[in-house]
Amino acid sequence: MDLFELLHYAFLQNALSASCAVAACAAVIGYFLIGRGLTFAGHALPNIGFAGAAGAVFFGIAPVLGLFAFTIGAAIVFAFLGKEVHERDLGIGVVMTFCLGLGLFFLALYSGYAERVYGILFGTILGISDTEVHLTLISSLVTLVGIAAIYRPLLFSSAGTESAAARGVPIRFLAVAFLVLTAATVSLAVQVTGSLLVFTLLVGPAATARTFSRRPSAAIGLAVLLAEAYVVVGILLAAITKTLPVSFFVASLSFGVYVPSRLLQKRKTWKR
Amino acid sequence: MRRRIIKIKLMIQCLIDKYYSGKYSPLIKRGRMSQKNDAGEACISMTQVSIRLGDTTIQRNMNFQLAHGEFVAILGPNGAGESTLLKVLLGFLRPSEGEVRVLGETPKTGNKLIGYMPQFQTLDSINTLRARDIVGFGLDGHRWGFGLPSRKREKKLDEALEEVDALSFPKASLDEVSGGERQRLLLAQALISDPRLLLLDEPMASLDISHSQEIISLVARVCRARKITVLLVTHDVNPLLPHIDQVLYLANGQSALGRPDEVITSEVLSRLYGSRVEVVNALGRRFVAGVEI
Repeated sequence: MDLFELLHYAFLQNALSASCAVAACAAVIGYFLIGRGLTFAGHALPNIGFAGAAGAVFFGIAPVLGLFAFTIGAAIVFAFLGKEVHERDLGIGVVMTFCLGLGLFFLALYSGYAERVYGILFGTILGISDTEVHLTLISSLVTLVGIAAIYRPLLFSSAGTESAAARGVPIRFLAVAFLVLTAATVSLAVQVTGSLLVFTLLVGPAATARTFSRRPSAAIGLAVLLAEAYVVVGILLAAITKTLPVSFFVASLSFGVYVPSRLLQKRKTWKR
Repeated sequence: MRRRIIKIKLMIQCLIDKYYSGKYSPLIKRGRMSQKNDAGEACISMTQVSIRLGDTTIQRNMNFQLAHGEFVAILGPNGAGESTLLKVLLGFLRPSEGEVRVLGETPKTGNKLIGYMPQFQTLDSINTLRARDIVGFGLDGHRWGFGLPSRKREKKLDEALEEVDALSFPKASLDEVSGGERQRLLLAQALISDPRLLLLDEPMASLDISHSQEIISLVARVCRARKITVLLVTHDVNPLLPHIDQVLYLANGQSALGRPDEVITSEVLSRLYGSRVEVVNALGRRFVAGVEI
């Protein structure tokens, strides 16, 4: 089928606009997740969201509401798990596995179509509705504005908690605010890539961008561009092939760009 | 009995300090600092201060005053409360008793007149940022929103980098520079907000002797040129001896403040530790030897 012809379809337009909004948020959030050593939380949140979505399906409400409730709740818990990385990650792991178990519990009780659950795990972006697109666009905008509002103190506290605290930066508030924004982004990104593959959009572009630039603004800008490219190309490829899923392409692109850029960076440091 | 002697000594010290702070304040006022509230007041004043961390009392009945523009080394065994004292001065921690005044106010976080260089940074993501951005945090890292680049800001950053001799590597990241260069950048971050008081927590902790000397002479130079008060926590006073005005020695819940030759003596340290301590002078350096140190 002609690519140009494809773009006239409403489902594809919906998929593209929602994905582009989500990709921008995910890339920005991902940059800070890496900087704050919170990538494990970035992996855990979508899995926790899965339980919320499965619960929502079981109770017959919109999965995205369950996603928001569970991920934001977990994010607040994470923010209070302390800054000792080992201790915090243990806590995150325990919460995550409990939630996965809970998700399984809801699934076992649920007797409807398994397709909806499959969609949560691997993404349903090509089947996204108009209302969901609007919700996604508004939530993405709120997330981006939120990050912009806390940009400098967030960066400062990521780079030196003690110095930042001495200058009056509200460390705890920022930790909570940032993780709540992360939870919102994860909930949105689950639609695109599914909860199993959120990491690829959340951390992949930011990790690649970080190998190219040390300047936060440049790295974030590059991460956003990469994330947009991944979702657009991924959706178009999926639409063209018709049978292959979007998340497969997004994950493959993310991986395929990260590996060479990482290898290039290694060589650069070697030369020094 | 011992405690009483120390108390009397401290009271005398307080009187001496008050005299000096009175004497020097007009000089300071003429300098870059023309704050209203320190016309006569000391830079730091501690009255009957006790500091507790959990169940342990770290310092009891601290009494001292520090005049503006002094370079003071804080010495003592590990765990005697050197870093905790800095945290009290920064407003992270309230004293369990007594009154602390810093620059004429009760300590509160977010005071840009206090520059702080912590010993450890909890997160290591600072290592991948550029020198320039790290120094920039000291200027506007605490402000909300994102800053737009401006010529004025760039100029300030250049000046700050120049002051610590870091203009040659503004784009290097912390994991690419040496330990000494790293400390210089963090010092620039603490200095860029034009503080009146500089608190340095073991800035020489991981440096060799020549890099330690470099940091010390830089701090001394800045302290004199800007006429700011510097409190520097260290475990080795020797490289600091030519530069410092006073020593604040913390040990065993007690403290003593005075000139190095007054405080680092067998007599005073034995009283502080509550056991026999011998200060040995050799090769122009001071060595503290004792049973429980």
